Amino acid sequence: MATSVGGLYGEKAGGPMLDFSYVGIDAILEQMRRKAMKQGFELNIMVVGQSGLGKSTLMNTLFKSKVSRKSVLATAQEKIPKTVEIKSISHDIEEKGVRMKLTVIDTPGFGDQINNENCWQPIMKFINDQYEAYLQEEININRKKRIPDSRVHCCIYFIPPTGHCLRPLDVEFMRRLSKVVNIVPVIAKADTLTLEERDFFKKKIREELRANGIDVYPQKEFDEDAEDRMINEKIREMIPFAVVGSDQEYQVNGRRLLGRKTKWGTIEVENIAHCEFAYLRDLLIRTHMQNIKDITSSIHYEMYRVRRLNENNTMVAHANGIPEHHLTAHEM
Amino acid sequence: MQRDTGVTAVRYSESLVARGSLCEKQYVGFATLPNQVHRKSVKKGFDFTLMVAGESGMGKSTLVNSLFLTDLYKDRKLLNAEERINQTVEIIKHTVDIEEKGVKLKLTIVDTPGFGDAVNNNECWKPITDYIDQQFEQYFRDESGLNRKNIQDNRVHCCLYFIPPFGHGLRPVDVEFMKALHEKVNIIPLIAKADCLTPNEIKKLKDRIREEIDKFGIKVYQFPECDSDEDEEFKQLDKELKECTPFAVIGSNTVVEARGQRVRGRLYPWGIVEVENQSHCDFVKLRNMLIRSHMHDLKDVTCDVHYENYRAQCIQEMTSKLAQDNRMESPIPILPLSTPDVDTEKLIKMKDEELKRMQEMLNKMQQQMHDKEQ
Repeated sequence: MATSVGGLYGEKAGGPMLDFSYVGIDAILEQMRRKAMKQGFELNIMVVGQSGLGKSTLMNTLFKSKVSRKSVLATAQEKIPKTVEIKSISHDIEEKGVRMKLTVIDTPGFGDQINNENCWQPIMKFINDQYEAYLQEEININRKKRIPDSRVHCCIYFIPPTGHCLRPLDVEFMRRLSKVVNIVPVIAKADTLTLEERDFFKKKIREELRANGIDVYPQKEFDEDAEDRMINEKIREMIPFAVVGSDQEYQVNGRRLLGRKTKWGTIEVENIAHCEFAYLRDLLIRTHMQNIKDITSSIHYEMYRVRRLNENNTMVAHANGIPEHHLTAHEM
Repeated sequence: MQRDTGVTAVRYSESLVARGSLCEKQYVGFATLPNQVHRKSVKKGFDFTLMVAGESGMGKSTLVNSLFLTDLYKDRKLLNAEERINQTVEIIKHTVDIEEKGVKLKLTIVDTPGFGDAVNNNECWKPITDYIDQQFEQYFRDESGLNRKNIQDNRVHCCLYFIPPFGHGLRPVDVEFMKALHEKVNIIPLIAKADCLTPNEIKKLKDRIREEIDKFGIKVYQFPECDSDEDEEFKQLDKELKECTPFAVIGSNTVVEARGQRVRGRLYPWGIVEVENQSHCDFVKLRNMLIRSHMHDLKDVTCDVHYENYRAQCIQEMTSKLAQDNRMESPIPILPLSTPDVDTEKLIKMKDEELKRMQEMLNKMQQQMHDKEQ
């Protein structure tokens, strides 16, 4: 296997090298890659939306595996809980040698009560608790080599397919949470909308998001360079994605595909002419996964950290008898 | 993992196995994740700080130029003996940006002229240890600060230490230097100017040096163990690498003609020494190890071991000093550690109780007024 050795060192082992200008610094990419493969990756996705919008099914469809709460917990009750609960399930999955610890955080009870005021609070608290846990690890004297990352990287928000506009609950939730986490809004169960209705609905949603100053992922202000901006603009023109989920397979044109079978036809989940699931999957997994994690750690987490540090300075000042300076408490 | 009511977490282990069905496109797509990370690193570029230490005339500059195919020392003026009498050890940084196949590297070479050159070399390594500590301190401040967006990493990732080939092993100054630095930086000892030794002499010297490194408890940089799933060829190379330390190196930036080819080397009347010929010296092994296979690991060990040790020490010193001085402020913003200062806790408790008392008094007064009205 001389080729693998040669590949690493850029030359045939043993003979003198004739290329006078090759140092070999590009080999560091390979070194990084090996290390990353050994360590594996972590991804934490939260799904938020009312009961019955297909959150669990969509998670299963995204990862082609029974990763959702309903598939895993034996006592998967269909009863609506009295308060918003946070249930997180982790799986170790592997593909082509790349290992990933995927955590799906479900929020049953959100938006299902009669009075839904402040139903976002447990969720905000959970997200902030994860930041706090990471911060505590970071300021420890004896730090772990690799701090386990339980921070929520991405929150998929399910919008019911009313076809009209966002509901007050949607606006309230997204307005508050877009400041602490990456929100990816999707139109759930989009097979109840025709293409025209879908386009109209999406336009309306985008307008309302803009009008309320809600920045969903990919946020405009975090585009790093012209190349990013170009790619992200295309995505921003398409969100929210209209998705349909399914973990059932059907025979279509001689192939077995994931879909939903009705009397009037079979909806193919991965067919972009039918729904935008494939775009969501590509965004979340194949192209922007690392970017989502980066924005969580370098922007959302850093903002939390700065707030905490300033709080501490105030507390320290207070203990010293120095009058407090005015602090903006983060709204819950 | 159980938190407050309503939060539960469960962990499973499950491979993405092909389900019994013949469904196409089992491929989810997160196997592209390493490439996504790649793309970001290529855009950002890498940095690496290399320190070279050893007496004058050991061939340090030539070796650095040979390793990175640059000419960092173009405008250098060499001092003569008289000028060197009162010279102290200086720290000089040279920075160069190298790009190859789209990968950008910002290379910083930290030179230490004057080391070991004086008549009395007592503690001549102190400016060097101070420099390394300063970089750690700078990074610690940056890391603990509020704005962490563009932290510059100037920590020294590796120190090449040049041992003269003329002696019979390590000299006292070599031992003291390495012991002063082995817990602050990755030390890679090299036998300089190895073309003045025969192969047997080199072997004896290497064995002697390895023995003495063990004897004096010097912790030089250790190559990480090979994975069990690496192929045999790789493992063999890795073994050879480890048995070859300390590397006996020769540097040259002049090109000579040898055996019908143009090679980098040194021309002597009795023959030509080829720098990149593995049977002549270990230059190729050093370059491959330093740049092509272990650069990332050197940086990791600096971050995870040397820097963390410094940081832990620093925090311990700071908190003990705070307790002594009985002050609450700290020079850099730190959060209350998991075991907060006893004094701070007491004060906070006192203030809390005061507030409570005042609140109770207020309530009582309000109640009295209310009763009066009734």
